[in-house]
Amino acid sequence: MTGVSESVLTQLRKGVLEYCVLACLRTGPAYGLELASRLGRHQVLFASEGTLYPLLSRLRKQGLVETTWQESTSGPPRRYYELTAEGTAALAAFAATWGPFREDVDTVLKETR
Amino acid sequence: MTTTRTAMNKHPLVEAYLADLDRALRGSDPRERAETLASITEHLDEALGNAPSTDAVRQVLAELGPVDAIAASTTPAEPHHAAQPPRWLPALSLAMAGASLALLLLNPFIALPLALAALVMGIVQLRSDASSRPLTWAAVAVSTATILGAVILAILLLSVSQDDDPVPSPRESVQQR
Repeated sequence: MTGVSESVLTQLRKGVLEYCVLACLRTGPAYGLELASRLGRHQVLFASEGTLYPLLSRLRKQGLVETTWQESTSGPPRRYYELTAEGTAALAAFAATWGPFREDVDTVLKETR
Repeated sequence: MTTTRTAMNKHPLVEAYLADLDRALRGSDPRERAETLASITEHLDEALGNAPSTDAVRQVLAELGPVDAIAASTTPAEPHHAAQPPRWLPALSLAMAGASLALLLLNPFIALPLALAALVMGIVQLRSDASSRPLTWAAVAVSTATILGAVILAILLLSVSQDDDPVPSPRESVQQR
């Protein structure tokens, strides 16, 4: 990946990645490793699993995600992340906006070819 | 839960990675730093367990990615602002200088230290603070005038007291002039 495409990607991720993390939590609470593997399947979106954790820290600070500890049979207790009501609302707003936004971008890129 | 949890397995590559990450996060927001270190340690514990093979460790660390990339995705720490002098300080210095001038004839023993203090404060402020320079210069000027006045007064008192035995009061020496 060249320097230019890398910086373009960084910019794009900044707007969108946190909502993708919220979306992964839509079906229910998940622990860190789970979230990291799920997101890590999408390499363009999420090249380095470790960058998930500062993002989760910010989402917690913003009150969009909260954590709970749960006992695990296979080892030490696990920290589970889940959406708060604000997180659910933020995700819904993003989902509603993303479709039209993506269509506009596609249209502009096609028109100007 | 403690934020400085150590990894379960203490594999040397894991320890080296976490130490590198700790260093890389030095410029980051403190809360993000603590939470990132804790959650990545948990991630490693969960992924590797107690006695992982070196291959397994390498794999998991590669998936986590370089510590610099992780640090780059954190919020930078708030810069510490250099301590600013209080904004009312120039006004205070000028007030002290003015008071010292006013007190010069009434009580030079209060006026002189007050003027010296105002002068020193003024000089210190001129050297450091860029704001309210006119006020600070005025404080320096007035306090210097007071000190000069006190010196002149002292010279007069001394010259007069060389003629008389009792030291005249400042009021008397002023009237003599």
